[in-house]
Amino acid sequence: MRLGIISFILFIFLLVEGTIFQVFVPDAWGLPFTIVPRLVLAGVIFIGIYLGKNTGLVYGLIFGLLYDIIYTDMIGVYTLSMGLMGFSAGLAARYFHQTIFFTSSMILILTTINESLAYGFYELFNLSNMSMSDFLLRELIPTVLFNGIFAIIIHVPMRNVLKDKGYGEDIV
Amino acid sequence: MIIIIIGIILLIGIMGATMKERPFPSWPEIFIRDSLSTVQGMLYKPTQGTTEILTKMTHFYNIYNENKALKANLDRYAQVSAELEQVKGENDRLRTMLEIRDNKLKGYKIQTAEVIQRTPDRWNHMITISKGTKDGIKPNMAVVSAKGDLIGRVSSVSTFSSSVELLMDIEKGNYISASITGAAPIYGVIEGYVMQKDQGFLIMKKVPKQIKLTKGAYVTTSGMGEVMPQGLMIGVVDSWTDGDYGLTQTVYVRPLANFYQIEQVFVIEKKM
Repeated sequence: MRLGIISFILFIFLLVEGTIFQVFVPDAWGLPFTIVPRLVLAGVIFIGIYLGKNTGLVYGLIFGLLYDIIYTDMIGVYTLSMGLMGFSAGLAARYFHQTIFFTSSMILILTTINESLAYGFYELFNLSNMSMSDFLLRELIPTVLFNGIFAIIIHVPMRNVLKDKGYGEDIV
Repeated sequence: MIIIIIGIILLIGIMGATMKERPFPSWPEIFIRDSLSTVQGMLYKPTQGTTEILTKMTHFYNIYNENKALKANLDRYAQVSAELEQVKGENDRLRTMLEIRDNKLKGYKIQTAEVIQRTPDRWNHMITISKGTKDGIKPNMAVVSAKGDLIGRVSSVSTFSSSVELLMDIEKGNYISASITGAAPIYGVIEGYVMQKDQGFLIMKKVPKQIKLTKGAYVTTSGMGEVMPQGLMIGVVDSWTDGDYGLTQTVYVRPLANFYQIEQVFVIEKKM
């Protein structure tokens, strides 16, 4: 049941990223920077933190693959990066208390790594047309800040969905 | 640990295998894209509608200000009527220009399509439109915005939806043969896209060295290369430098189309 709800939420996040959010992105209104919404990634990190590293890995792989199929031509970049992020969120959660400070800083760090990984892969295959400094200033910093704020907003509802009854560490 | 390493190697292998151009994706991809495109269409359209209402409201506010200014101008009626004559002339001229463009578009088979979604990240400049193989969309068809400016080409088609690669993604090797309009057309190839001074420019290469260029000249597709039809508006000439080895010129072209907030597009089929 809980997994059903969280899968549905992540699915909605996945759709919102490419549709509703794209109307409101800053560069659509002529601003020089852009925000890449990583709502799904935030959800995957929450799952990793509250439901364990293996669940995080599985959710990261599945939703990364969906993201790749719907939004990009090349399959594998986001599958790999989101899977890794879910897994490492689960790993780190073992050593810290799951406070709002921990989750939001986790999302800040992992979003940075995820963006850099994706940029690295697209640069490796020579598909990105952005220089390193442009990537840092125009894209990475606004994106990470936005996702940090988003993490603080969804922390309490996500905790309520994910941490109700006394399940074990790992579900999958 | 070994499993993770094997997994990473496998995924990088998949990336390498799928990075090349695939006009007809595999059936699981087609299935997922088609089934999600209906849901996404339901999400995208109302949002666009709401923002349209908002922009209209700002328009109303502008009209209010304008009305005030016009009332103040009423005293200077003679001057305004002189201006009117001038504007009338300009209007006629623009109308004839528009007709020319319309006629050019009329030579092709046009299909209207709704935009369903846009890729959130900025390394894949892709949009998905609401028509696919069922409606006769084929890979490599030109896609123009509602105003008639070229925005990209169809890169892969599913049954009910298809992906459009915007002009910014041009570096993948799908060059566009273009010509600068003037007394005699100047031919070149659009090969890339750069960001300069917060503005994106298309890079047009292989323009002959001796030719004098003028700023603000229109750049259209030339129809050579058999991919794009002739005469689609791309942009205007902004600046130029010496090209590779100093034998040619490289022209920076400012695209006319707005690549954001695209609501409807025309897919253009080349008539044989």
